[in-house]
Amino acid sequence: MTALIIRRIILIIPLLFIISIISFIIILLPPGSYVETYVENLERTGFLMDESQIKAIYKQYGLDRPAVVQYILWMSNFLLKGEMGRSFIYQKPVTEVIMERLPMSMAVTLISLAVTWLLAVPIGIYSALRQYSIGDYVATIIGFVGLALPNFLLALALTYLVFAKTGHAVTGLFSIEYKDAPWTVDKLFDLLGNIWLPILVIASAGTASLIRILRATLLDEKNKQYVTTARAKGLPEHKLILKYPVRVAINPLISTIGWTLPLIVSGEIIVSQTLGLETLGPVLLSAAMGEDMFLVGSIVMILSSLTVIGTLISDILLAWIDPRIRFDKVSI
Amino acid sequence: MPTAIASCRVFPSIVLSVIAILVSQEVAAGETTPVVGSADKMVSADPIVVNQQKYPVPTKYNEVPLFASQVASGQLPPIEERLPAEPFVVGPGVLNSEEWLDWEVGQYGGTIRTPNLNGGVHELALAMGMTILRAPDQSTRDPLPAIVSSYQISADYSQYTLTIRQGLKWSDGVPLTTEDVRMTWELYADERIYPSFPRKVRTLGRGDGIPGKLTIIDDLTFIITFEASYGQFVAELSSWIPDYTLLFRPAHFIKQFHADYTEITDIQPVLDELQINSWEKLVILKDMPHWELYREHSIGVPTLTPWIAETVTSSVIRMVRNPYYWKVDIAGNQLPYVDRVESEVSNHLQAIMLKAASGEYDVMTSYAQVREMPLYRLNAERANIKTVLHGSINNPPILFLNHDFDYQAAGSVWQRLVTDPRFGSAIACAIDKEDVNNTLYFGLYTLDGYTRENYDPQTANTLLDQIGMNKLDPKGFRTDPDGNRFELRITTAAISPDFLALGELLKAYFEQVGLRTTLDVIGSQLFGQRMNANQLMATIHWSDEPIWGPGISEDYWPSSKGHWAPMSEQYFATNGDSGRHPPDYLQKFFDLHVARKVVPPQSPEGEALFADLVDWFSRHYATIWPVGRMTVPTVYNADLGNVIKAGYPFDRALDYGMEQLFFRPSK
Repeated sequence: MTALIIRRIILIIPLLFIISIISFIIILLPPGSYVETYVENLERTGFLMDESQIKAIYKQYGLDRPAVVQYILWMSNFLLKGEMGRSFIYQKPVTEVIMERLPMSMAVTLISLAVTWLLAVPIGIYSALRQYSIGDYVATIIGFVGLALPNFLLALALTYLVFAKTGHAVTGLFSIEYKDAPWTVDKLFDLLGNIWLPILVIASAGTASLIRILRATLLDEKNKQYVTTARAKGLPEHKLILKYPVRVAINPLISTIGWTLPLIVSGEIIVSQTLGLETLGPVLLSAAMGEDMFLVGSIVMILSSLTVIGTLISDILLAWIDPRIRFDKVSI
Repeated sequence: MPTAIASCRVFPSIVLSVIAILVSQEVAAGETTPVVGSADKMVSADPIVVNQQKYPVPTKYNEVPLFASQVASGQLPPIEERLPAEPFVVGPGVLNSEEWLDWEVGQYGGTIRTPNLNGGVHELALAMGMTILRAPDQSTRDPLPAIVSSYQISADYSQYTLTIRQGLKWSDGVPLTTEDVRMTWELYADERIYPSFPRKVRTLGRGDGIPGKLTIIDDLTFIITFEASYGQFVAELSSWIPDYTLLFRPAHFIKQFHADYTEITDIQPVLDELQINSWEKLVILKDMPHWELYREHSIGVPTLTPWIAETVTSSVIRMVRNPYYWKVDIAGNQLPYVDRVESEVSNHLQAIMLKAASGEYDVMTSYAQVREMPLYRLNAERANIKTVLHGSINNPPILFLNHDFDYQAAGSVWQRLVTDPRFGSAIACAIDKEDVNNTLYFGLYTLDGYTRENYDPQTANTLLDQIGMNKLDPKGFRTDPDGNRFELRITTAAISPDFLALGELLKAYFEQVGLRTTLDVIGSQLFGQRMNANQLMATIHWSDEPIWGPGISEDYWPSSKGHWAPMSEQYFATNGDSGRHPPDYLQKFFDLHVARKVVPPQSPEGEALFADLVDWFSRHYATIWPVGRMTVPTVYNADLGNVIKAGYPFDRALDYGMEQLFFRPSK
């Protein structure tokens, strides 16, 4: 198994290299460039740039050179100096832009995940064990509604409801006084007062799908022979459920846990954009629309690497938790 | 009219000629002799000399409370030393005409919060608009000397003598001198930084015009001489588009990053920190246009603006007042009144609207729309906000007919139609202006655009019959004069929601008079490309007509927003190397355009030429105006003072005049 893992890790490098080329090509596909978008935006507000100024900006961003040259420079900077280039929109190194928003992205995602799991697992188990009870039906209905409603719609509706009732617009994680203030207890309370809404929205959709998956698998498992045997042998009910069928039912959840790694960075982009959260999602979106090449390229590279690594971690975890995979020497 | 000019014109002409002689002698004593073009010399009245303001300089100044402790501890010099010897005095009628603003002396203090969508250009860019000369509102007529304490324009509008206010300092306390102007010219001429001299400082504003010659007289006075008359330069000096950065850049600051003035070893640490690989790129970055002066990379750049960037992140912009700002009010208070400006970056327009309706912004001009007025009105009490309706420097979308489309095809049908005024008139008569106004704009916009025709489908039908489009094809639409299928293709992009709505309405009107019409909606990038390539017959786009007259905007240009003659424009811009040789009537437009540049746009001659231009547009139907002027709201904090009155003909008054806003104490 160790050999397998090592082989997988070695394969990551050429994979990432190919991903970097593809993402760079995709960024350059839309017609125009950052400078053209920049000039257009200025003109819309009434400011007219002089042609010589525009040419100077092309030169400043290195956009006057062919794409291949830009790619090679970007890659070599990254490999030799660990620099990921400069963002055109923010006019500072990409690493700074990302690091500014990464902590909040991670916080929002991790809390949402924790809430999702804490809600989904007990409810899913209950739903399966008390199939067709009132509780099951209620959980199912709420689950389907949460799954069917688009996240951003729920976000907008909740924001408006809160606004209509209290006159306070919950947009963003912090009020303007605390946005760049050092951490204090007040700032924490401000955060708590604002963060519940995005967490609620993000968790609602995730919870629903997890509940259904857990319920389905558990329903399958709970009628199997080994459960009956354990019950007959006198194991207390709660222990036998949790130790055996739930372990099997958790498998599908574990296999997707690796993909939370890129999610931690990118977060839920649409909800972040709608609510104006200070996470990486809106940055990625506006960078993509503004053709801010190096910022988008770097974030896509980071997300791809994390996805690949995350998948690997998932596989390892699965092998660790599920002995069938280990002992049957089923190849991962 | 400022008393300065009235009194100058009363002076005997001898005094004026003496001044003119003295000036020309000083110039001759300098290194360069200005070459004044003879063929384009305008024989006009006396030279213009303006060296007085509207209000006298106050005798005593009131220190800013925010700086009191810093002055006491010696960190900042006292106010008398921070201000120029004769600061620019703001009072009634200076930044806005008295007709539109009941100006009052304000009070220090407070923070103005503004919205910002995606960190783009918005309110703050205009609040940073400090022009060299200043006329009220959006005018460029007889401007007052602002950054300069006096200016002189030769009788033929080819020579401009400017004297910087003595004691005027950059935001870091370094005095503004002619060295800053010299450095600006040096940067313009340096191909490593600027590929070419900017158009606005070339004679007649042409891309191939000779750049103005700069002559430095002393620390404060300098002369710019153009090859020929260039009256439009007055408008450039008074316009917030090029702004003070047209002539003044902080030389002492930029030299730190310029390899000709600083050792590359001293510059290298900065290059490494910012991950830039050449000093030229660093200079281009640090040589900041004024619309970037609130971005993160502007922290530390010396400015002449009322506020300077203090901290900027990707989610919030914080600015604090400039201790060396060079304007005071008539009571001796240093402007701006408000100490701080904050702008929160949002990614979503709806979030901005919601926040505005909950009173979280003190000034919102860019994102407020008439459509959302009910939202603001309903919440006005609870959120302590007010709204005011006024005009705009933008126009609602208009229809552009491309006079260059299909020009290369012999016997082109479109060319015959578009050069026939009856066709343009028919199109104009087919549009129900009131219907457009009521459907799209709540009936709040005006109907007085350049299109004189009103809704008259009968006349439209008659005219179309007269041109020979009186036969119908099998589908019931009119054929062209040759009897073939005719299609009017209107192309637009979803740049604003009303473009598409207007397109649909126009299609309905034109089909009612029998013209088969298609509306093509494409992406905005593709839209721009196709317009440039002369592939579009008719387009829908904006323009900034209200500021064409003062010379601030040139949107009527054939390759500006809606391209109505891109190939003729190319011919003009390349001096005949490429493009289409314009037919006589189009050439008349270009002649008018050039003639306008010779004189100041709001001089009597300039206004006469502009009236001719408007007439040209009305008669040739390059632009067709479904509605005239926009009405836009501004949402603002109910406690703010010095807010313009309803009906103000332009917009963004609270941005362009943000320095005179103040918070009244709440009751």
